[in-house]
Amino acid sequence: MGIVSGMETAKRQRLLQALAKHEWWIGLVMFVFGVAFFIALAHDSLNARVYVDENALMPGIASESFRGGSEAQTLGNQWEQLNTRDQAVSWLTDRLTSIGVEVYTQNFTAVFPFSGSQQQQTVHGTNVYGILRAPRGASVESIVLSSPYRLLGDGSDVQPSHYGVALLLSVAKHFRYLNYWSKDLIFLFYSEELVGMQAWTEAYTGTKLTNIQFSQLPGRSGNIDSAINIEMPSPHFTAIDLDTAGINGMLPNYDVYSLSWKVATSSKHNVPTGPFGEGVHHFADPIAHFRQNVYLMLRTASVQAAGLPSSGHGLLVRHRAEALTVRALPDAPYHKRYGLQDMGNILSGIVRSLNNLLEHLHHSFYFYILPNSTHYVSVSLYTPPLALIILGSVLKAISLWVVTGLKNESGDSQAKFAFGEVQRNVQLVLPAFLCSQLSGVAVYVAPHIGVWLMPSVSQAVAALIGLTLTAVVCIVLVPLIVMKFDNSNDCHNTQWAILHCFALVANTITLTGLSMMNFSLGLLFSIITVVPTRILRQRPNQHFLSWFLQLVFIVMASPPVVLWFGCLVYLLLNGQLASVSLASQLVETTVTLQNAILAALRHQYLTGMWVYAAVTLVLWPNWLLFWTTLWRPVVCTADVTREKKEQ
Amino acid sequence: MASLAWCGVALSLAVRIGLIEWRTCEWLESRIEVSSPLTSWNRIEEALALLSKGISPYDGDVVHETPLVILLFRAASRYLPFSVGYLFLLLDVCVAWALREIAVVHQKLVVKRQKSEKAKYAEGVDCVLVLEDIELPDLMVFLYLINPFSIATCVGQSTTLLSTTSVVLSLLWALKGSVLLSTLFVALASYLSFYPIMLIVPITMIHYDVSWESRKPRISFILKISLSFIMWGVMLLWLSYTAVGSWQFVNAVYGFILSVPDHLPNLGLFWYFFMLVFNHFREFFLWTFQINVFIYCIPLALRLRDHPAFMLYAFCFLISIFKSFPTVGDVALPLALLPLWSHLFKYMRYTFLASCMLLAATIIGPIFWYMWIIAGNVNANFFFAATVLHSLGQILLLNDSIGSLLRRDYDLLHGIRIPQIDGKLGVVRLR
Repeated sequence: MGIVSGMETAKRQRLLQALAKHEWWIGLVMFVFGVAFFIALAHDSLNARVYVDENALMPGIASESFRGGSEAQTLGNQWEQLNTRDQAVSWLTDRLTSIGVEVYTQNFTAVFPFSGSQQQQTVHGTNVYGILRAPRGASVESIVLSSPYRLLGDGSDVQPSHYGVALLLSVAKHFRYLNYWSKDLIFLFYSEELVGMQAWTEAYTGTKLTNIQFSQLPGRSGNIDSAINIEMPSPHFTAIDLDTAGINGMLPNYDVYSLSWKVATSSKHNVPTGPFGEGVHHFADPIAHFRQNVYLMLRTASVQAAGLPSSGHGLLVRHRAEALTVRALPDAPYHKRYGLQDMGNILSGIVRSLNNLLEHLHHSFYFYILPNSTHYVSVSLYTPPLALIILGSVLKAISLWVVTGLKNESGDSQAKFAFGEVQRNVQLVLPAFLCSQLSGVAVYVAPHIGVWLMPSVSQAVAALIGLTLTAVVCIVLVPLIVMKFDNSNDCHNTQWAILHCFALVANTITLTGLSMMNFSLGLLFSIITVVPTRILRQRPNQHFLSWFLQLVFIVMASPPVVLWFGCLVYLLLNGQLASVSLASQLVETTVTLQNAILAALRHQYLTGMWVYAAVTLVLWPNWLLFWTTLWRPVVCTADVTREKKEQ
Repeated sequence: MASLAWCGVALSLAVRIGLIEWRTCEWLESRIEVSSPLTSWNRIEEALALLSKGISPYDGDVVHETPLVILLFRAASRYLPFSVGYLFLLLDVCVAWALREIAVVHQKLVVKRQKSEKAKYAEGVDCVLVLEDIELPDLMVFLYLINPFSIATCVGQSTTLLSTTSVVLSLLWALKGSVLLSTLFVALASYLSFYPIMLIVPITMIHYDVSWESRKPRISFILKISLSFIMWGVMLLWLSYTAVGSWQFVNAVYGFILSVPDHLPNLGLFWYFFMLVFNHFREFFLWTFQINVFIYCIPLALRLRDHPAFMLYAFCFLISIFKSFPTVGDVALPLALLPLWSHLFKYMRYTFLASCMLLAATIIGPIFWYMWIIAGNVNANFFFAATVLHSLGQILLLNDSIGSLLRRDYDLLHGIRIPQIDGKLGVVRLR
């Protein structure tokens, strides 16, 4: 019974005290090492090379006999003549009917919450889809081939994608006469971007995650195994972007990426293929190569952290469909140009392989980051650095717990009793946690209350005002309320240190949980919060400068400031900062932040993205706890009076 | 402090009412953490529907609830003017009231006993003696009601709450010295979820402890309590038999608890193991796992014979850790009883670690569940890791409190200073 007896109290206490004493540099070393470790994982020698884990896929073996390149070109030209949605829908229906597949349409209506005007903004759309029944099997499984359809010249700034539509139609015609399909093929043309895809997936899977109103699907097939979404803005392309990032940072099985990569880069096609169409070249200079890897790894991670998919595939991933987007890049800096014919053959190669599958893709990883087109960092590799980074918080929490249990700060190394001589006062913990959680809920609902209270301004503005005001009120009120619960007059009390300790525990556990679901978001907030929350000092009579420094660090780690800097980095990297003067650059960043918040808010109701909920209900309360501990009574009135007496 | 505790009580009750009114019950009762196949509200509704069609609820393999509970809820759904959720709220208030009474009586008992034994204590042990704390009863009510586990159990309408109520009431009546009532509630608890049958040992010893002034012969005393317990048990079973008209329920309830045919994941350790084990070995391991629940009774009953109420707490923890279909409601009971021994807190060394483990399991568990069942990108091992963490946290807390109790006993008799041997601090080992 080692735990029960074995009370080698002195030995144990010496160890814990040593930990408490040296914790600050151990934690720092672990943090620096963890971040360096993570960056180092981008190097090709430290991660794994792309491979197809599922042998049944047999990528690139099938002969590809697609000959419809010129037909696709004609169809693309026809699309350019279409002006209204009704025309587009009837054109798509006619084409699909003439090919000879089952054709259905689905109407949907979505109310955009927090629109830019006082009225609600409503969006209508129609999805068109055709089902090619498998000649060789029952309709129990299906593969989705999808493409967004966008009318040209309707004023929106999104890229056209009508060659994707055209290609899909000619591919459908080609597939129609092949007899080896053992899974149904669904050709889906969705309108209004993600909203249309969401309406179709919800109707198909019988789920209800959003507020979109949609008509039921007149025809359906079996379970969706895998899906390929295609986007082609022009008939020619020089590289392919394989986009895996799904909603809320979910990823499809890595096999679907490696399969698509293998088909596209096989000797038959040899198209430069990778995430964002980059990371294709192996630089001769190892440093340049490593730099490219790091850049690309951070870029894939940041896309994952944002949690919003760039195209329709991301919404299917949630329903266990292994989906990715194959995006043709016309302007990538590679010398060779490819056409619709090549893309058609690549697509049929991928679909043919997926058709070979006997069971759901499950062999390979669901958690990975891509540093270049030929390598991946799997979950087993990137978890140790994250653990190292987060463990710093755990160490600090343990040391705070140990220190608050000591009688005096010097720490008697020889324990005289079997029990702890100091009773820890945990009275602040419960009120502080309740207050911070309640303020999280308040901030979460604040945009709605803003819209409800301010009907005279536009909904977006009202939501932002409500959000800002609530956040400010929380920032002021929570420390004030918690201070009321500090029941001891002695400011040498340890209540605040214990609150700090439990705040660290809560932060650690929630960040761990978050990084399980969306690794990049968890890692981002771990890196940002671990250092500032560790340097907080729970000691009375600190120098004002030291306290001010802590204040600055904590403010920098607050979710709004982090997001603001995130927007700044995003604008800088994309070269989108148009203005020259510093002041207008700051304004531009703030506007971007506002748009990002509104987008997160809207997509919560349009696509079921939970990043807004995670930030307001988890990260914001966590931060408020640390913010509160900063406002402990700093100057000891008891000490001052004692000093006066002594004088 | 006391007024703050009552504010907290009001808040927790308001949260319960809010959650009941907002119909979170439908979501909570589908959570495997809150309701097991034995205690799920969905299954009771199924039973009521079957009964209304004139079909025996035990004909199928869905209902594993005891007949009296089903009849109780049939009556409740017919005659109660408010929704059943408020019945659970009432039960929770009843538990809280009982805990308050228990705290008052138990404190008096401990202090009285301490006074009588004071002559035996070593010198200078004042700082580990129990002081009567008038705030403790209110604090117990507060800590029970604010516990998210008990809120979830109450709002999720898990019938674990019925068995919790029975255990708490039996402890209360045992402390108050009423043999008939306390054995009735132990019998009721065992009737509801079987495992509390082992609680008859501490209940007997509490009775013996309470009536120590008028010591009766031990054998007749034990005989009296066992007879009373058996009488109540037989009566409950017979009532159930007459209510549904067949003995099917014995197999459906107790057979189900003991043979664990349903591998629906829960917070316990059974489902994962029996999902993996070869059928060939199933019976052997079933016996091992079930004996494991009860085997600790013997050593603990011997070692903790001077602290029967603490023994009951330890047994409640054991049941919650090792029973075949545990829920969060089972953990809420020992956690609510723990403050009775608040004088041990200064001896406890792993409270921080254990509470962190429980907290982590509570947050990580639902996330892994989502990723396994809904998102489908991890497997069962992840969720099992969370449940193991949950069990480990409980084991650590139990171990720690037992160790603290024994160490305090030792200190009371031998003095609180750690003995020095050759100028070095000695080590006290439990043997």
